[in-house]
Amino acid sequence: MSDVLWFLTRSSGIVAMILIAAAIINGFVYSGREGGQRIRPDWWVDLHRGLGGYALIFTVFHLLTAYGADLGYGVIDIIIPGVSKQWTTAVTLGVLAFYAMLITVFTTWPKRRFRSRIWHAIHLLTLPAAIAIGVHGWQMGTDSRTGWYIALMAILTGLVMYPAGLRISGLIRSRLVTFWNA
Amino acid sequence: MPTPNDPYDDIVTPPVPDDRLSELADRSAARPSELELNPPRHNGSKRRHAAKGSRSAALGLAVVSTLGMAAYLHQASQSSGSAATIASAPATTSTKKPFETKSLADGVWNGDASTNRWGLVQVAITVSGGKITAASAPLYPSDDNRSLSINRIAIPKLVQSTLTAQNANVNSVSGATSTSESYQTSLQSAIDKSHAAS
Repeated sequence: MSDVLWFLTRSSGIVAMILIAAAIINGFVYSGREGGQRIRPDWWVDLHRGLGGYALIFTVFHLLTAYGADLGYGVIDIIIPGVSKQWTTAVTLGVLAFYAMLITVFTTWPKRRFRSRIWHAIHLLTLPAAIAIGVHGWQMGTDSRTGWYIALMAILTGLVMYPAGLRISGLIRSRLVTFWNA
Repeated sequence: MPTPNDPYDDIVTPPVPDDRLSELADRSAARPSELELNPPRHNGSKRRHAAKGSRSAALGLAVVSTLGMAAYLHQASQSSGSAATIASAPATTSTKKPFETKSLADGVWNGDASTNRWGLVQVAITVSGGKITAASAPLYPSDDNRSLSINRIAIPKLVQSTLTAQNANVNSVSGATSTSESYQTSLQSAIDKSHAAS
């Protein structure tokens, strides 16, 4: 049974990472207004929220199976950053990223109660969380040195960076326009 | 905005007679409203899940991917182990001295722990009726996930190979070369102890 859980731990971690990347891509495309006119904004937002929620669910599943697979991690190791004796840095990054995801997802539901700037600042926690998840997977992942994993990470990174670049360049452009018009 | 005493005031904003207003109101009431012509989905309420289909597809895809990838990883780990076992068998037999299993004393025998760069490996065998009936590795490298995942697959193969071979000439497992070599050394030590006691 623990072997089954061990393989599920690996696969769910990878799928959770893909879902996080998909949610980030979706968010950048929507916030940058790069989605075109054909698809309604509420569709983008709804899908974005769905992907974020599923990413969190799969991360929880990843943690539960890792615990059940008897890999030597206790509940404390999973809950408190920096406590794990094995792979301390990687586990800590994973735990912190998990908390960042929790905060991001659960502050999205009551979004209207937050001021826009505060909510936006909290929401941007996703980006360092995604980087931490990447490092966590690279350091700890049993499959992280395989060709297909490296290819997957390269594709995901490219897919995230493209809309991120569009979004950042759009922000810079709008700031410049505002500056010159003032 | 018209200025006072503007000669064109009546032209720009002509007064509308009351009967005309009531006529327009009746006509408007008789005409189907915008809501009737283009009724919004879900009885006018805002849709809760505009991307319900896409979300369901994403969730289904994620679940299938998780299960499929787990099955693939399981299959890959098993096939790589067995393929390398076959590949490494001739080399192992050609370099090792012949192993003997004659006159093993019954009992449980613990081999000396053998060290490799990943940690210690110790083998315990149970001898009954002069044959090795059980083998285990109470000690093997498990300090990190990688070692644990490798040895969880390698140790059962080595144990099975021990029971089949009835000596320390067990096949090495691919990806677990260090563990395999240390296992052989410790197993030979356990067999030697059993020999010495017989």
